[in-house]
Formats: sequence, C-alpha cells, structure tokens
Amino acid sequence: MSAAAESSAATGSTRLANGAARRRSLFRRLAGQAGPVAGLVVLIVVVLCAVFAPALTQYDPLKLNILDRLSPPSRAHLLGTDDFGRDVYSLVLYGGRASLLVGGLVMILTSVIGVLFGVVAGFSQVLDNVLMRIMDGLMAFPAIVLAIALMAALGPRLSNVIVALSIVYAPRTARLIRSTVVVIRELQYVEAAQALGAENARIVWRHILPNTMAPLLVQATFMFAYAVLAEAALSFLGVGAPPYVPTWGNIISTGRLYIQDAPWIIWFPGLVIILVGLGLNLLGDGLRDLLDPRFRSASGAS
Amino acid sequence: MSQIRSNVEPSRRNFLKGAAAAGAASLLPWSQRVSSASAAEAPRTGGTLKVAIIGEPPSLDAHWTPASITHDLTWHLYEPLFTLDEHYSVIPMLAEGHSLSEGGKLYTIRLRRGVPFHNGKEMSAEDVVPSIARWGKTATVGKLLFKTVQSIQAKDRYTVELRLTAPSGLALPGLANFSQFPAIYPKEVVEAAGDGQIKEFIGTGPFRLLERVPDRYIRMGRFDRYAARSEPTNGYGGKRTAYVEEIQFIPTPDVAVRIAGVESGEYHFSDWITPDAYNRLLQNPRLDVMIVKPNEWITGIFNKKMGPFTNKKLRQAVLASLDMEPIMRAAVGNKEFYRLDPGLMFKEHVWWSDVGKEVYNHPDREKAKRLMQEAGYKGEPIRWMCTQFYEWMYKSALAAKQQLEEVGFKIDLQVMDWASVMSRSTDPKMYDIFTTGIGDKVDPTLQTPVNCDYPGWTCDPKLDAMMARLATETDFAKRYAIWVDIQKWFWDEVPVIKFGDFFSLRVQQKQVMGYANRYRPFFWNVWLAAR
Amino acid sequence: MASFLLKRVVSLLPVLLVVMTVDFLIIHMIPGDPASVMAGPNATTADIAQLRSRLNLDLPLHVQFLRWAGRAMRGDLGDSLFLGRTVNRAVWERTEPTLLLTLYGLLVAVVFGMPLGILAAVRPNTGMDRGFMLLAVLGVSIPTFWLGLIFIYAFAVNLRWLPAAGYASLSEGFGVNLRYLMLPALSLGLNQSALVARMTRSFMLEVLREDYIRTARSKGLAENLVVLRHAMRNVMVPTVTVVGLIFAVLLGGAVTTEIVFNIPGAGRLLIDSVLRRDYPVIQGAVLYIALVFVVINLIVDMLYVIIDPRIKYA
Repeated sequence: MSAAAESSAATGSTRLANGAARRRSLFRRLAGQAGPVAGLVVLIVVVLCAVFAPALTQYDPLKLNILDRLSPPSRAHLLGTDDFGRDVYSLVLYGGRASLLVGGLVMILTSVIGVLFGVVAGFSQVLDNVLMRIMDGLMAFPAIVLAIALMAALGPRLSNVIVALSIVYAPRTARLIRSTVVVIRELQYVEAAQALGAENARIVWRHILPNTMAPLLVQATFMFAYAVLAEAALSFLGVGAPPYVPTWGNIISTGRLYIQDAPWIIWFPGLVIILVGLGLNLLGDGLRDLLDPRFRSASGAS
Repeated sequence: MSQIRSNVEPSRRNFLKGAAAAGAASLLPWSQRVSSASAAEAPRTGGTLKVAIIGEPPSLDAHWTPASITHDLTWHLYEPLFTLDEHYSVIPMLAEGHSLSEGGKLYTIRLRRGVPFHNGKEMSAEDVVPSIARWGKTATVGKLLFKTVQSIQAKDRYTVELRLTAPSGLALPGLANFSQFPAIYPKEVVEAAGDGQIKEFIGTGPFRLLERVPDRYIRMGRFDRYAARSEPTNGYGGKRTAYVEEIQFIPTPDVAVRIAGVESGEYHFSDWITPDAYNRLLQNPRLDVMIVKPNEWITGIFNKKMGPFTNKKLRQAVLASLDMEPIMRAAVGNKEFYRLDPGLMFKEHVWWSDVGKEVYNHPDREKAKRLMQEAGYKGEPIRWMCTQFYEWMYKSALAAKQQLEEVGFKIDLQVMDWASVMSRSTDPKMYDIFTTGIGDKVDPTLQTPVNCDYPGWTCDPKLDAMMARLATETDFAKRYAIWVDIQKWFWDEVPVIKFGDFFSLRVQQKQVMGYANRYRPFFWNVWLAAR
Repeated sequence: MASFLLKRVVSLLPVLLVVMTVDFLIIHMIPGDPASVMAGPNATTADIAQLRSRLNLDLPLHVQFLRWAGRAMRGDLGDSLFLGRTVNRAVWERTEPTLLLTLYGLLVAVVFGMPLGILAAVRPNTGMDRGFMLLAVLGVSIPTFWLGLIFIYAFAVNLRWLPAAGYASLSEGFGVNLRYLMLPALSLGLNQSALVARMTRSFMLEVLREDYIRTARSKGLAENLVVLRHAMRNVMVPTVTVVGLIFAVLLGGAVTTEIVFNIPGAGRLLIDSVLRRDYPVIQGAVLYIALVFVVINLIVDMLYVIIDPRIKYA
C-alpha cells in the first residue's frame, strides 16, 4: 500500500483509545449511512443465495443437458442455459459458492498472516527488516502477474487459487498491521505498561490487537473484493479454477464464444460480480469513513 | 454399402494408378466452394491477405511436427514430390514423373528442371535425397514408410531412386501425405539442421518467408521466380499462382476473437469456427461461409501399454456406456455439423465400411457394468487428458465423462494446453485416455489409431499382420477386404473410442476470390477483389 | 534528498533479491517435466535426458538459482523453449504494445477521472457528488475483461466503429495504432478512472478546506478563480503521484486486456508461456514486469517525498 495509506492508518489508530464504547458508537454511525448499509445488505443477500443454493434451484449445475443448450431465459430456465445445457441461474448460484469461498478464505488468510507477520515485525527489529523486505519483494510484482505465475506452478485448482491469492495479498495487510503496531508501541501508555513490567504478549493482546482491528476490518473488506475480482480474472484467463468447476469467471470464459447468440451467459455472472464488488466497496468505504473521516477515500487500492 | 471399383487394372504398370485410384474413385468429398463472380472478374495481383489461424505453430519445419497448423502454413513455402488431385489420386508436384520396376520395389523418380529455391539455388536430386531421408527419420508416416525402404539415392542430377524391400501401396500416398509432409529443402539446410529443427526456412513454394514474430504474425511474400506447373489447377496440384503480395497469418487462439475479427473486417479468412455461429454468419452479407466435410473424427485414445485399459473388457465397457449423440451435440453444437458413423475411413471414401455398427453407439449400461466387473475395475480414477485449445476436444470429453460416471467410472479430467497433451501422449506413465481428432487419410494404412508406433500403442500381432498385408497388397478388392477385417477387429478390440465425424466451418470475406475449399486450406490462386 | 535517493536505491537491492528468488522458485514448483515437454513428441528417453542436462535441470536447486541469477544480472535470461529466440528478444518484441496500452489506459483514466473528481469536490455532498461517487464505486467493481467483451461486441462487431482485435505497431502510423488500442485502452482505463475520480475528489476536498483558500475566498475572489488558481495547483501534484500508482496497476490490468483483444503484448506472452510451459519466458517476463513495477514505485515514492516532506517513512 502507499505510504499515505499507512500514514493515515497509523494516525487513525491513535484515536482508538477506548475499545468498547467506540465500537458501539461505530455501529450506530455505520447504521446511519445509506451506502454501507446498502452494501452490507447486498452482500448478505448474495452470500445467503450462495449458501442456500441447493434450496434455491432444482438443477444440478454440473449436469449436462445437451438437448437444451443455448436456450434463452424462460420459465424453465430463469437465466437461460449455456452451451452444455446447464442452467445459468444454478451456475451463477453455485458459482457464487466458489467465488465467495475464495473471497472469504483469502480475506481470512490474508488477515491472519498479515496480523502474524505485522505484529512480529513490529516487535522485532531484526525480523522486521527480513519480513518487510520479503513483503516488499512480493509486492514488487503486479498482483495478477504474481497470481498467474503461482497458479502456473501450483496447477489449476480452486484450493490453489486461494493459496495463490493469499500469498499475493497478504503482504499488503502485513505492512498495514506493522505500521499500526509500530505507532502504537510508541504510545505513552504502552511504554508505561512495558516499564511496569508487562510482558509483550500481554501488551499485544490488550493494547495492540484491539487497535489494529479497525484498519484490519477495512482492509479485509477490500481484500474480499480484490479476491473475488482476481479469481474471476484468473478463471477467465484459464489459469484459475478448472473449467468444469463453476465460478463466475469460468462461466464468463465459456460464455465468451456465445456473446452474440446467447449473451445471457456472460451478462448475469458479470452483473453479479459487479454487485458483490459494489457492496463490498460501499461497505469498506463506509467503515473507512467512520474510522477516520479526515482521510475519507484518501488512498485507494494498490 | 461401400462401393467397390471393378475397373481398376491390377497390372504392375498401372500399380500406381490402381492403388491411388482405389482411394481416388470416390465422389467429390469436399463441399466445393469456389468464390462466385470469378467468371466475370479477372484475378488481381497485390494486396495483403490476413488469415486468422488457430494458434502459434510449434514449428515451421514441416518434417518436425504433425501439427496441422504447421502443415497449413508451411505448404505455402515448401513443396513435396507428389501431391493429390481432387479425386485423391497421387499426381506429381516437384517430380516430373516416375516409373516402377523390379517387381514394384524400385521407384525411379524424375525431377522437374529449373525449379528454384527461394535462395536461387536450383532444386535437384542432391536436395531431394537428404530431405526425404530426413523425413523418413523424423515423421511418423515417414518412419512407417521407411520400414520397407532399403535405400534412397541420386542416380543423376535430376533422378532419384527409391528402393524398397518389398512392394508397398504406401509409398506414393505416403509421399503425398498431408501433415508432416516430405517437404524438399536445400541440402545445406538439412545438413545445418543436424538432429534438430531446420534453422532456415527455404523451399520452392509460391511464397517465401518474410518475417515471423511469434504470437503476432507470420508474414509470407510472393516468390516472384516461382516455377509453376503448367497444367491447370487440379485439387492440390497443378498450377499454383501467388496473386496476393503478402499473406499474414495471425495466431488468434480465441475462436470468439477469430469470428469477431472476420465479422468486423479485421481478418479476411479464418478456419476452425465453431459451428454454433453458422446460422448467424450465413445471414451476414459480407461473408462467405464454408463447411469442411469430411473433416475429422473425434476420438479418445486408450493407453494400452500400461494402466487399466490394457484390459480389453474395460475398453469395451467404455464403449458400451456411451451414447454418442449428446456427446457429439455437446462437442459441435449444430446438428448439421456432425455425423454418427462407425467407419474409420469417411463415408465419402471408397474405403468406407459400416462394419461395427452393432457395437458403435449402442449404449447398454447393464452390459457396461458387467464388463467393468469382469475387467476387475474397482473404481480407480481414470486420467483423461484433453485440451480446450480445440474446444470440441474438451466438450466431447466432458460430455463423455458425465455418461461414464453415471455408469460407475471415476474420471479425473485433466485439461491442459494442446502442446502438453501431444507431448505427454508419448509417455505411457502420464495418462489413461487422451482426446484428439483423426483427420482425413489418403490411405487406410495411414490410419494412426491402428498403428503400433502412434501414441496409445495399438500393438497386436494379428493386427500388425493384417496391416502389413494391406501395405503390400496391390489389388483394390483384396485390400478392401483386408481393411474390412481390420475394422471388424477394431470394433471388437476397441483400441480407441470413436465418438463421431464432425465437420468444420470456415469463413471468409466476400472480397476473397479463388479460394477452393478443401480439407486443408491454401491461399495460392487466391486474390483479393477490389472492395 | 540525494542521500534519501541513495538510501532508497540501496534498500531496493534486497527487494530485488527477493524478487529474483520468488521468480526462480515459482517456476521450479511446476509439476511435469520441462525437458520432455521441450523435446517434443518424437523424442526418445535419451534425447530428453540430454536436454535435461543441457538445461542444468539435474543440478541441485540452489546451484541452478545461482547460475540463473548470475546470468540474469548480466542480462542473459536464456532462450525460449517454444519461440526460437532469446527470452530478451521475446519480451522486447512485446514491450511496445503493453507500454502503449498502459499509457493510453492512463490517459483515459485521467481524462475521465479527474474532471469527475474535481466536479464532485467542488459541489460536495450534493446529488451530483453522490451520483458521481456512486458511479465511481461502480466503476471500480466492474471486471476489466468483462467490460472489454461488452465493448468488442457493441463497438466493433455491431457498430463496426473500431477493430475487434489485433494490433498495429507505431511504425505503421500513429493513427492506425490508436485505432487498435482505443477499445482496449477504454476498457482498461475506465475501471481506473473511477479510482482517479475518487482520489482527485478527496485531494480537492482537503485542499479546498485549507486556510489559504478561505482567505482567498474572503478576499472576494471569484469562486472559479479560487478553484483554478489555488486548488488546482495544489491538487496536481498529489494527483500525479496517484497517477503513478495507477500506472503500475494498469500494467497488471493490461494482461487480461491483451487476452481479450488479442494484443501481442507482454501480458499475453506471459499467459501463452504459462499455457505452453515455456519456463524461461515465464521467468523472464515476470522479472521484467516486476522490474518496471519497482522502478515506477521508486519514482512515485520520490515524487511523494518531493511534494510532502511531512510524510515520514517508518
């Protein structure tokens, strides 16, 4: 991430002194904003649809139904069928499972790795140098390029997509957490606690971690969005999930051939990706505004 | 039923004509389409023809790879000794003619004179001998033919002697074969290549290589000193004229882009168009649409050297599980573009037979399960390699996978790039089945699925004996009988799965004139009309 | 300043080391045997073994890395397995399309994004502001490749305004080069223009709040003049750094765009090489792209320090 973002996160976190009370008012303020609420609602709806996919459709998305191929949206097939006769509506629902799973797991993994590395780096000068150089090295590749190279090595499987994207995006979180930790450590009350003999572990648990939650939350929201988009791009390029696993990117990839004859195949997955991205971005923006209004939309994606 | 030519003379003098004519006496196999309005307009020289091809060719050395992309490009640059006319008869190209003696064992081939290579050197026997020898060492068909070759040498500057150990019906059709064809290179080029690929791309063809930027284009320019034959164009032979100034072959792996490119005027011509676009493209007044029929048949090749499919019963189980109609439909889309047929040689050939129709496309799940049990199949995953590069390969594999899994097979579908499929197909440790297409063959002895050297390793003493007899027999009726026996053996042994025949779609701008739609595309005799 | 620059460059060295290690390691994790892939379908086991030793593939990993890294630092990245030329040449032949595409994409992002951002900032929290910013969030959420597909069919195939695919080099003329790159640049740049809009807006908002703007206003200068003279001058510079950041992102986005539009750039080379398992080219292309990225980031960081010395580096 850019230096500006780190800077903003660091100063933003100095405001997070009193955890619980702030959290309550945070939710209240978040709830008052239309954008993030709408985003959250959209997200919840999409996630629920994906989770309850089997209940929402009677079709098996993998079942080939050749005789019905390329049929337009109808009562039998709400969003039409693809070139194998698979129901597009079901593909989008089940594809959501894969795509959202990737997004969610990458979000969690990058957060965990990011916190781990960030905290360790924040506390140890030696490890800081080593780890941050490695993080910088990983961030020296454009995200998609590194992801492609990793997928080339690991092979086209959904689990590998999660691993690859986590490796690609974790450094960003790690740098963020690290700067936050470094700043907090220098706060007076923390220094005081150390002087009083508190162990590092306790300091981390009571003071550091709670104050990283806010920037982490914002970051995680955007990570989810990047991961969903990146998975779609990788699958579209043919280096993501294998072609017979439905993901939104894969569906668009196969639908590319039929854009003139059966445009519904690329329209619906595309619109869903946009919807998910929209929801996540609105949510993330809202969270960031609330946590640090002075830096509203100051730094964007990197 | 099949036609049997009764008026072919089996005499030795007409041996050549007979063997070839046996294959040649078919109906015109191609959806003939020569551009309209050509009667009124005289050919124009000049212009750059832009052709969107399916991908980057693995090599520009015609001997080196069986990839059809390489063939389709390089036969503008290089020429063989013999080629085929529109009836599949072998006719001379760089050869002037030939004679056969010593009981069918000695081919004396006379070369044309005054035929220049692109670098100015005159083609002569000193170039032909090393070229053919190299082809005999490198190419699959070459290796097959050279099993019976005793020697090849230059008798004099314009005469080559090919001496066989036994008469072979394969010699001339092999020398006129399409993919991995015996291109004639200058002797220096062959020597410089050593064991690797050729480093300079010099031939006698109507076009010469201008520039190759991988993944961007391959540019060929008209060779002004090309020595054309005098007879009118006949099939792939006869007079070849390079009208256009330049041809640009542009690798465009994505068929959607190829279609869009031709529709929007970016490319003049493209092949391997998905048949689903047929109806829409027909409506477009700027385009000519052509069907390539016959084209290829889709197949799944079993690994019979190691793995579960060394067991014949399991192979038969697979065949018994498959309902070919939905598989071909999934692969090809448009019903007009495929045909369910058990013949290993296409219906359009005199060699066609429908022996095997009782087993082909007769799905019987109970029988399949029984055979699986008898074969001792316990549910081990079967590794199936295919590629999306030719989308019909992937689609047929996916459709077959579903049907097989319903019967109880476990299929591990491995989708990879085409180059990987081709290279892994030679390693028996890497797969159990792989998908490919079998193209149109001039002679049944060239059918790769019943060849022991070809990946899949269809090796069986009975089969080998029949194939050997097929190669040496000269009488068409007798050869046909042997072939029918081979096909019978095929449908019992099931060395590969034949899914069905499919036809391909080519599209060009109406501006393109003189294009003759044959099995493999070529752009000599083609010109661009004024817009 | 100079010492900062020196320090920065020196700090790049370990990064470069990491880059090269990562690049090297990735490729060698690929399953399957590179030697047999390269040798081709006609090869015998002996051929494959010979090739393997020629490529040093049978040496221990760290020795391979040292040899590779040593050669790479001298500029020798080996030969492509598929393309019949050196990796350097293969990548070099592709730089023009990718760089031009990225540049045009950048222009699109700035041309569409900045005015939108400025307009939104000048009238904050009005309907127009909210509308534009919603549009911006939408823009960031649209997958570039999807947008490219839509454009191809709308503008190229159906309206026939622009070519659907392909590329003409600058040497063939600026106009024709632009024709081929216009749709790709639009689909690439519009996505980032949303980002530019958001950033421009926030920078503008900050600047407009500054005291001296208030002073200027209180002096009675016309609103437009205030904006033009004071705010623009101050927002240009941070926006330039934003633009620098986006250049790097656009470079990554060019990969998918090149596939969609069949442009023979470095991104397409990367994908094609991955699919063909042309290892030397994968390594070389990734290395070059990372190098460009690092240089751009360095320049951006430098500009940042020039603009705002307040920002310290932890």
